[in-house]
Amino acid sequence: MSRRARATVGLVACLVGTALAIGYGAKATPWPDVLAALVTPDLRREVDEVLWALRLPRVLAGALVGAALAVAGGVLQALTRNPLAGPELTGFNSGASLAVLVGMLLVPGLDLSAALLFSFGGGLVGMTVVLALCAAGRGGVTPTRLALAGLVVSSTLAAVSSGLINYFQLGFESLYWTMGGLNTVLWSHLALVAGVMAVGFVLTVTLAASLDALRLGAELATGLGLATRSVQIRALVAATLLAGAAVAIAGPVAFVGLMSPHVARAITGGSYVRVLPLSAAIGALAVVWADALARVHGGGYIPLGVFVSCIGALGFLALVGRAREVGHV
Amino acid sequence: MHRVASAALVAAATLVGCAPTGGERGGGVSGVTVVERDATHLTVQHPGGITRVPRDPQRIAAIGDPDALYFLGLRPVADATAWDFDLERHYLAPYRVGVGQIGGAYGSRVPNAEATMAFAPDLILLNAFTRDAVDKLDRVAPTVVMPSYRLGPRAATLAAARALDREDRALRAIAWYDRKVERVGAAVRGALGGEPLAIFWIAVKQIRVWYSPLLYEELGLAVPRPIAEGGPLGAGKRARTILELERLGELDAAAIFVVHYDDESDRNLDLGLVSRLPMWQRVPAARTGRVFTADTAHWISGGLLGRSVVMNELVAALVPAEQIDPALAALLVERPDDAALAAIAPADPATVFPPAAEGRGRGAR
Repeated sequence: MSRRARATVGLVACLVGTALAIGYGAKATPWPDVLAALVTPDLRREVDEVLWALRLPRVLAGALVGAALAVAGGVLQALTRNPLAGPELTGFNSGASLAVLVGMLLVPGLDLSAALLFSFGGGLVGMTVVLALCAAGRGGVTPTRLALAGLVVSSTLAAVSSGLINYFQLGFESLYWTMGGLNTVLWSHLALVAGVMAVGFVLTVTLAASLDALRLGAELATGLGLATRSVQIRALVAATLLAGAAVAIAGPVAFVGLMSPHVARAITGGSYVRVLPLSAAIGALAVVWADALARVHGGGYIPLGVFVSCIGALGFLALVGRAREVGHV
Repeated sequence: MHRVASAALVAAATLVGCAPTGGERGGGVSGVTVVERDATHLTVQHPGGITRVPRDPQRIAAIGDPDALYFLGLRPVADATAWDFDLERHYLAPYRVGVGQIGGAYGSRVPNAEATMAFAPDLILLNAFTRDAVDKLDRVAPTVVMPSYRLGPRAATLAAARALDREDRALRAIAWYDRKVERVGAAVRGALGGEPLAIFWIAVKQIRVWYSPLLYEELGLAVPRPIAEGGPLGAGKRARTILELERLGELDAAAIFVVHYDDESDRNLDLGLVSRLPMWQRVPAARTGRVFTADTAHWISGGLLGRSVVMNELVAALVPAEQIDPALAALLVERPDDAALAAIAPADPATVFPPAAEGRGRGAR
C-alpha cells in the first residue's frame, strides 16, 4: 500500500473511530436512540437532550483539542527539528496553566474567554523562555538542550503553580486546569475556541510544504528560496493558537502533541503534507476516546488527562526505545 | 510585652523539651470522662491522655471547632475555626465578636502554639489532634482533646461540657436540639411530600451531591438518587457523590440547596451554567423553583449550632408560614436560652455518647 493510501485509510479510520465515541457516556444511550437523535432530533426526548446539549459538544471539543495539540506538536517538531518537541515539553502547557491560575486570582470567576487569553499569553511566555534558553548557547536548539530547557522551565512553572495553589487555597478550582478535562464543555465554549483553532489549522495547511523544506535546516531551506524567518514566525503563531486554544478549553493534556506526529510518521512517512492531517486525526481519536473512558468509567472522578497520560506514558517509552534504535536521541 | 515574653517562654520550653505540665499520655479512649473531681480541679480522661484542668476555667481557647462552646452559651477567650476545608464559619460571626483569633491551622494540622499562648488560656479544647499538637499545646495550658468528628456533634458538645464540668447543661441543650430535629424534620418532610432534598456542592465545574447526616439521618429526609445509587468509589465515599451532567435529568430532588467551595460570584456562575442546560428543567426542584443558595461552612460541617442554623434555613425556605405552629416557632432560634434549658429534661448520656465510645476506641493514639 502506498504512503498516500495508508494516510487516507488511517485518516478515515480515525475519523470513524472518533465519531463512534458519541454513543458512550455516563448516561446509557442505545445506538438506535443515538441515531434517531442525530437524524431526527427531538429535544423533548431525554437522550436527544443529552446528546445535543452535552455529548456532541464534548466529543467535538475532544476532537478539536486532540487535533490541535497533535498539529501543534508536529509544527513544533518541524520548527525545532526535534522529535521531543511538543506543547508539553516546550513549556507551553505549564506556562498556560500558570497563567490561568494567575488569571483566576486576578479575576474572580474567570470565564472561558478570559481564560483563553491568559492561556495563550502564558503558553507563549513559557515556550519563548524555553526556546530562548536553547538559543542562548552555542549550537542553537539541539534536541538535548530543548529537552533539558523544557524540563527546567516546565518544572519551575509547575512549582510556581503549586505554590500559588497552596498559598491561595486554590486546590479544587485549579484541578480543572492542572489535570485536563472536558466535563462541562458546552456549545458556547466550543464556539469561543473553534474560530481560533480554525485560524491555526488554516495557517498550518499553508505551511505544510514549507515545514518539509525546513526539516533540511534553516540555511539550506533559505538557499532553496524559502522565506525561512517568515515561515518560522507563522509556524510559531499557528502552534501557539492551536495549543493555546486546546489548553484553554481542556487544560493541559499531555503526550498527544508529542506522540501523534510520531505515530503518523510511522504510518505515512516523513512529509508534513501527509503527517499533519493524519496526526490531527490520531490526536482527535486519542483525546475523544480518553474522554469517553473518563465519561463511562471515570464517573466524573477521573478526568481525561489521567487516561491520556497513562496511555501516553507507555507510548513515550516506546518512542524513546525506537528513537534510540535509530539514533535520534 | 507580656505576649512577647510568653511567646519566648513557650519557644524556650519547646526547645529544651520540657515535659507537658497539665497532662499525661495513655488516655486511649475516644470519649471524654471526668475521673476525679475536687474543689478547684477536674481530672479528665480524653483521647489525648489524662489531664488535670481547672474546674471553672476563665480563659478557654477553643481550637478546631468552637461550635460546641457557643451552642452551650459559653464564650472562649480565643478560637481557631479554620479546620475543615479552611472554611470561614460565617454563622459563628455574631458569637465571635471580641473573641481572639488564633489563626488557621489548615494544612499543617498543628495549631500555632505561640499565638495560642498570647491569649494566656487556662484551658485548651482541641479538635482533630495530632500527638505533636497536644504536646505543644499542653505546654501552654492543660489541653483536652475532643472526640473524633466521626462520633458526631452531639458527642463533641457533651465532651466539651464534661471538660468544663457542665454536663447537665449540655444534656439539656442536646435534648432541646433533639426536640428541634423532631419538629423540623416532620415539618420539612411534610413540605417536601416525602420527596428527596439535595445539597449541591459545586467545585471544579462539577456537581457533587453532598451527603448530610443532619438531613438524611436526623431529619429523616429522603436521599436523592445519585447518593442512593452510590458512585464508582462505593458507599464509603458518598460524602461527595459526583453527579455527571449527562445524568442531571435523573435527579429526583424536590428541593436543592447549592453550596460552593468559593465565593458568591463563582457560585452563581456555576449554577448559571447548570441551569442553562435543557435537562435542568427535568429536575423537580428546578420546575418548582425550589433551588436555594446556602453558606457552605455550616451546611457541610457545622456542629450543633451550625445544624440548628441549617434547620432554621430549611424551615424558612420550604415550610409555609401557616404550617409553622407555636411549638415549632419557639424552636426556631439558633440555640436554647437558660429558660428553654430549664424547661426541658436532660437527654440520656447513653444516647449521646454510646458506652462503647467511652472505652478504648479509634481516637486512641
